[in-house]
Amino acid sequence: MDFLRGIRAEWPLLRIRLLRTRLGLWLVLVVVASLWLERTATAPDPLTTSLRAGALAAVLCIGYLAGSSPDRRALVLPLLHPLTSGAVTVGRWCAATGGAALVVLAVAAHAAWTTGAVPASLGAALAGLATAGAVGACTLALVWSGGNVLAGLLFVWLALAGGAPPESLIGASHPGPTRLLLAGLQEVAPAPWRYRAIASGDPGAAIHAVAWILIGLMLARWRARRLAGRTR
Amino acid sequence: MTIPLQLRGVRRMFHRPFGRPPVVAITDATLELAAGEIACVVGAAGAGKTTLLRIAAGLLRPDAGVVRVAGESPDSLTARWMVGFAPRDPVFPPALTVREVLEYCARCHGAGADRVALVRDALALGGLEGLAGRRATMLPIAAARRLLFAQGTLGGRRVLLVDDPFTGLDAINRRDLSDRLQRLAAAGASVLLSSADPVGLERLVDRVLVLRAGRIVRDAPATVLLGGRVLEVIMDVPPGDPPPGFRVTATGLEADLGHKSAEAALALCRAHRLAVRASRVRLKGLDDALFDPLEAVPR
Repeated sequence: MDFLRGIRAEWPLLRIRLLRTRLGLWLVLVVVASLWLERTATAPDPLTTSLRAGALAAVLCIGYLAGSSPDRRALVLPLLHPLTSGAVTVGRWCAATGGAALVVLAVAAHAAWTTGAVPASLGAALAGLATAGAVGACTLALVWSGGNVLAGLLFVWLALAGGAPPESLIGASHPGPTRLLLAGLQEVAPAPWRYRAIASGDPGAAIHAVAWILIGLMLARWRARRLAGRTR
Repeated sequence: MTIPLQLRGVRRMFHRPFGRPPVVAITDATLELAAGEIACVVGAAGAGKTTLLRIAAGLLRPDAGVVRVAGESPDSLTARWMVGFAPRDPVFPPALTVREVLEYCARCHGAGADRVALVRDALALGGLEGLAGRRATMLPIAAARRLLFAQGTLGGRRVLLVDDPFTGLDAINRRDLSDRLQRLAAAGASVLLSSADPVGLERLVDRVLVLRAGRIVRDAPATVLLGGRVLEVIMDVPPGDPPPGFRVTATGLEADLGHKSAEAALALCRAHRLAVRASRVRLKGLDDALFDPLEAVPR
């Protein structure tokens, strides 16, 4: 019941932020840019588009729903009411993932409409949603630790290299320690390249996404308690 | 009958890095709040008022001692249905209107018709009906404090903790907020305030707790603290060594009269060959409680 109340309390924030901040505009831009990239690509791949759009939209939604300094300070408000930090964290993540889901569904619907491959588009949508969930949970933990600067860095990284497997980074000539570190992060952390396999029914990728959702939410919950000054 | 709020032997330290000694924020704090009572914790900045309220609200864990809200641990969900806390700094989620902030908080309590009623009651209690459509982050300080107060009362809480509610308010808004707190207490809620500036709280509070360096040095009904008279003696040059019972002020000397007459106290000044320019007797205010020496403190 507590978690349901948390989700119900946090969900309206998405509607308010979509309509009253630039979040709505940014999400529309992500959809438009994703579709434009797909259209101009030599080998269009709706799955890549869905994964990238889901990851980027999740980072944006978390940034606008939870990452700003006033939002982080205002975390104390729900915790002064009969709601646990876990419920607040899950509620905020659900709201942000809901925003990202709109983008994923729009991109997948466009792919289904233009290609007529409905099963493939459904798989792409599922993989995109899993990407949005995992990336969103980790971004939530990041922004409640370091603010929207970290969300900005993650956004750039996901936009530039999110779809690249770590082998492509290690395989480059003369990989330095930074590149090796980034390749290691790319291997471990939630990234669109890994969740491609969800579309083809790979349980390992799905488990990876679920694990990162749980890890991200636990870290975010711990940070929420600290931010709210609830150090019990 | 269960005591709404009870603290017994509460102690809280804040540890500091790099081997520096910890700061003792609260030590051996004991208090009980009765239903319908308004008590105020007064003390200078850094005395531990906010820490005490945060412990009572269940936001901080005491290192030692017991805190009970109607017999429950303060961080239990049961206790949090009963305790409301209005923090000092007005911080609200951006882009939300006053009504939406209250709806956001009300969703933590209930749903449907309950929620609508909760928001309507909170708007009325805070006098915010006319500001319901305004962005909460853009409110003037008086309205922001009323919104903090309203969210603290939301859900019919039985205990309300209000941290420094009058800071930054003018006299009219202080009176307005005082009246709202009194109405809440008259309805049976227990209210614990904190304030660094007790001036003007005389008509509001039933009981005063003076906090000095983390320790409650005085816990007395307001009527006891306000009952005394003070003789102020204005002098051209304040003496370095005041007569017994007097203390030096910026303009001369000051003494609690107690049962003595003003004439007897002035005679003491003359006996010490002090050049008295003028004198007056005034009633004690709550701010005097902050400055009273510890040995004169009734517990």
